Amino acid sequence: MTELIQIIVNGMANGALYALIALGLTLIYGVMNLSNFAQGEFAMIGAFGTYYFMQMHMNYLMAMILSLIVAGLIGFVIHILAFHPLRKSEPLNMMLSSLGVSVLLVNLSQYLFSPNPKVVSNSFSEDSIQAFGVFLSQQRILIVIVSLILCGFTYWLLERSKFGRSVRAASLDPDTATLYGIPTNRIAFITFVFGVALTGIAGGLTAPIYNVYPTMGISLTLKAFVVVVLGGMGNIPGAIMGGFIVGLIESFSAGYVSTAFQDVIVFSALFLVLIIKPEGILSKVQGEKV
Amino acid sequence: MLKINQVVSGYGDIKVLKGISLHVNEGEIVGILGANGVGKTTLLKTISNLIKTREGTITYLGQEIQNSSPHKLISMGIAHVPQGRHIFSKMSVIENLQISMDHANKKSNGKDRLSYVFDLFPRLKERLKQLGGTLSGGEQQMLAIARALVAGPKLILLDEPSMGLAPLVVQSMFETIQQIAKDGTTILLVEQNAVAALEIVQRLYVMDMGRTVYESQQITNQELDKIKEVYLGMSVS
Repeated sequence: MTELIQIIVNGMANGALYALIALGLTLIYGVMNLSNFAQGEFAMIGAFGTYYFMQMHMNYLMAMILSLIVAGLIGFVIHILAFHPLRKSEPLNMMLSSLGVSVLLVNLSQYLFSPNPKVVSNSFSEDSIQAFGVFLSQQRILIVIVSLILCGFTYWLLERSKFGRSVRAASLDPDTATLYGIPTNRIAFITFVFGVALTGIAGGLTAPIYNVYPTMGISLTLKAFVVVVLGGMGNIPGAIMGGFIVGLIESFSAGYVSTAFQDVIVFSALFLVLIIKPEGILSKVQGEKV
Repeated sequence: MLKINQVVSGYGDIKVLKGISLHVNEGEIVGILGANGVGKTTLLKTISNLIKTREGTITYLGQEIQNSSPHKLISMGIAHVPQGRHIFSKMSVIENLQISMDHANKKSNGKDRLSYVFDLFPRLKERLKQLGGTLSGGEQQMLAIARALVAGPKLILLDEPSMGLAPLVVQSMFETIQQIAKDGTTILLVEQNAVAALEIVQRLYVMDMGRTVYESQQITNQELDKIKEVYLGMSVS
């Protein structure tokens, strides 16, 4: 029983991270039609930012907030250089450009920070709470709480605010959105920066658990793509739910099968979904687009 | 109100509009007729700047607009109802209307404009929460026109409002369009359904090969027959 609860908690914590990264990925896909293979690198930037700001004797939360701003700023520059000029060409070109950005960011950080993993320790990562005979690390609880708040905030922003309406309209039909007063280029900019900043926070959150190193983003990108495909490309609730589902599948496979097999099982689940319900598990039958 | 002077535009290397000129006076319903592929939709897209004007000028209320950003035109009073309706399919009816109201020029009397469109299209009021994509074709066209109207436009560019609709629906749609014009909104109507359009337009142009080939000042029955026969290929008995 305690083992089961432990597995669920670990799965939720990882799932919360995946949800956050996938949320950024799916938002960017929806508005820019960009499959951003550099998404995970922004988690890496967030994690390195958190590490270096903490080296400057800032507390953990302050360091995370600053590094999310750094991730956003870098995202802004990258959008100008790598994506904005390609906005009218084939989506494939932007995707290839994102692969280039990924390689550039990984190598740049290897050059600047060395490939050696760095350890971030904060007060949360050392303490754990004991409840019902289970040890819950405070860091994992923090991850779940922060990520749920951010997912909730993003969902609210999209569904209830004027800005969110503009984002959804721009992603459904950019030309018509333009006709009805939405500056779609500016919306794409803001969405990209917002999306990578969310991922930057995920990096800051994961740093105390998994260490910080230049290639850490690559596997996160892959996981986020699994999540986004499971939930349905461009589907916001799908990305959030999908994140938790992938996190749970992973921890259950690690707990009951073997850690060596956890990725095999996650990707098998992906193939299954692609075969049975390729539009994503959370998508309903869509109204015909006339 | 709107004056198009020697406008050239197109896609890539292909010129679709080859020096077209026409004008719309305030309060009119002006029709642009012509067969498929003569550049009618391109003309409207060029007016709303989704396609860049390469040569010539477009003047609206005394101001050249061919270089202004396309998303600014709605607040200047030009609303474009695109061909195929293009409502936001995964957004509710009320959200479709809100999008337009968010960016309208007269933010103050939004409620009046909403109740005006609900008077015109009571059906929409019953379906406020329904997703746009689940509406019938006729209802989607109503929503597309309503979305333009709630922005409080002075000029509406209407692209093929009859497309894909049953004849009875087309008839009531065109009656509503006439009503909208009577209420003070100028309309530039692009149509392939010449019979329906001829019923309501006050002036018309016939387009061919990216130019206007015919312009009528006043539509008399005699002239109507000539238009039908010569330019629209309809046999007149």
